[in-house]
Amino acid sequence: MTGAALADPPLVGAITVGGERLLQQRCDRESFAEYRAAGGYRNAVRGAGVLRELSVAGLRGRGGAAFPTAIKWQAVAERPGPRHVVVNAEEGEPASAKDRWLLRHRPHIVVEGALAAASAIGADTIWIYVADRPAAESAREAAAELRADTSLGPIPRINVVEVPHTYVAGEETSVVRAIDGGPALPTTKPPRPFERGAAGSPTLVQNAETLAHVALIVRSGAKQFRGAGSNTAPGTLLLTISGDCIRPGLVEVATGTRLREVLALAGGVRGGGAPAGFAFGGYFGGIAGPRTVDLPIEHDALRTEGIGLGCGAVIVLGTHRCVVAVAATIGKFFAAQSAHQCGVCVRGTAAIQGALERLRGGRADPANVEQLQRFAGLVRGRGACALPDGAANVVESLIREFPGTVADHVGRVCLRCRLPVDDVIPNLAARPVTSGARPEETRSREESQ
Amino acid sequence: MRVQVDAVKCVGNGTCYEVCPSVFAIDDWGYAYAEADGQVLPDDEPTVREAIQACPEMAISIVPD
Amino acid sequence: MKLEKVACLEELSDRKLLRLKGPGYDLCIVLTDNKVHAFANRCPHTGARLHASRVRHNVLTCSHHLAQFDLCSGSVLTFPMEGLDVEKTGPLVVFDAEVDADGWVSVDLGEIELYGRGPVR
Repeated sequence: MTGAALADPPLVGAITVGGERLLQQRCDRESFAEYRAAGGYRNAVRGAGVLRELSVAGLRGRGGAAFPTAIKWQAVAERPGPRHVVVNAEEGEPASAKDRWLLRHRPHIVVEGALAAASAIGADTIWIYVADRPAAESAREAAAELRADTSLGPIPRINVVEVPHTYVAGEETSVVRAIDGGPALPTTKPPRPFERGAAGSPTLVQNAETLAHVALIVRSGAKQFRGAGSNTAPGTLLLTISGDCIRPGLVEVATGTRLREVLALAGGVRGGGAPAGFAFGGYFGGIAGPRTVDLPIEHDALRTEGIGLGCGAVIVLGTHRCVVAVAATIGKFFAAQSAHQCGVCVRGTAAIQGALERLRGGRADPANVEQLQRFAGLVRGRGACALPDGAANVVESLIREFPGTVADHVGRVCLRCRLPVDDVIPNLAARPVTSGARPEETRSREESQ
Repeated sequence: MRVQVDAVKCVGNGTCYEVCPSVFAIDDWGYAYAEADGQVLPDDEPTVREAIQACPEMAISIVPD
Repeated sequence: MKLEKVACLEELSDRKLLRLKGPGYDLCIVLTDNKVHAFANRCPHTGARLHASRVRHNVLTCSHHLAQFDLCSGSVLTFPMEGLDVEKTGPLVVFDAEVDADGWVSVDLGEIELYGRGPVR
């Protein structure tokens, strides 16, 4: 599957306050000259100054965990070198497209962020890790453009690594393993990449959007960055909104914006009426009820409601959708995307899939619902990566947010469940390559400089 | 002392559970996990060490301090 | 339980953790911003040891999942980067540390049971 071009998401707008943003209304690729003319690569702050600025900005990771970047960077910086920076643009969540869009259309803003990171933590190698072929080509071209321009002085070497598009490939230990020449599959932690990553060195694995924010922070300063969004998770964030909405695509909003406003930007629910719910964080964050439209889109605020914002992918479920059918389809996805490395993941996700499908087919009894809940508890936190937690989130959110709907499905056939939901719950064409495959078959790699 | 079961290595032999049921548990599919996040009471330490030795897959390890 | 004269000020270099382990206790003391802090050598997130952690001012960063705690109150400043229910991470157990006129440090452990499984999840 290496080298496949994935769908290019259209832009649907932005709700932000002033200043530079990540999204620009464009269908083409921003060239080096264009980016430079617009103020790029003039970073006033370098080295330790970047870390200070980042700490003031309070930037939190946009890959899903929303961990404060400054703390992670510090942890890498204080370990003995050589050190590596990895731009993680492999969005395993099928509903997310933001990192792909950035690399395809604005590769230099991501690369500048990676250069700032390398300068801050003292790294001498940058890896751009990606599954989408056009994004990889755009990144390679960006590296070549940088190399051709001598005015920037010495810069770290930039390598592009292409991997197949699978759910687990974006996990940070998969990233490290693939860069080291292995398959893009997760490994047991510890060690975590910040302790021992690529080539055994401390490695900063950071999501592409996060690094794009870094580029804007070093250019315009932390104060400007904090000018938008909430106090605990400031700035703007990219959302990929899809499913049953009129205009699916990418949105850039200040954190804390209500989902209702984002839904309005996307043209509202297709077919009218109130949404049946939302699948959050791609598939990882679980399914949230219609009440979510009035919640602020911010990691902490959603977390207290039991919803994971994840990488900012939101799937709108139209009035006619049955959430049980959606949950069963997502359960099937997780079972199929298991890397078959951990027994508990293989069996656990399969058991969850089976139980959800029984519920969808009207073949479940009350004991099956309890069993489903027990399965979710058993798989949580187990295995080398968070895939089992994703399956657990779907089950737990379904039972917590839609108790009535679940009860209605016990021993009763739901007609709406018969409708396929594959149009809003896309699958991935590739499955994880299980261990034993030769590295040459799973990836291609191009080095520059 | 704290222990962890490597989910990648565990194939569900169940030896740890037989040797030290107070710390290890078996899920619905036969795979082992350490209860209470792997925290081991001082009294359990000898049997836990025995369980570590007994695991044919060498899947159990002590989390380093 | 009170531990008398566990260390003297000269032994403590700035922001370097000193681990004190004995029957029934395992704790760390650290001198930072001219104040001595004492805390249980156990991260409330996973129960991992803390003596390899980093201290800057009154902030302790756990070396395992990069959770941050306030050394004065023990409160969580940053939740850990991964693991089970990170938001349920409780506060760090901190103890009263006193420095007498001669520069000797004493730590009051109170009634807290240091060993045992404790509320880890």
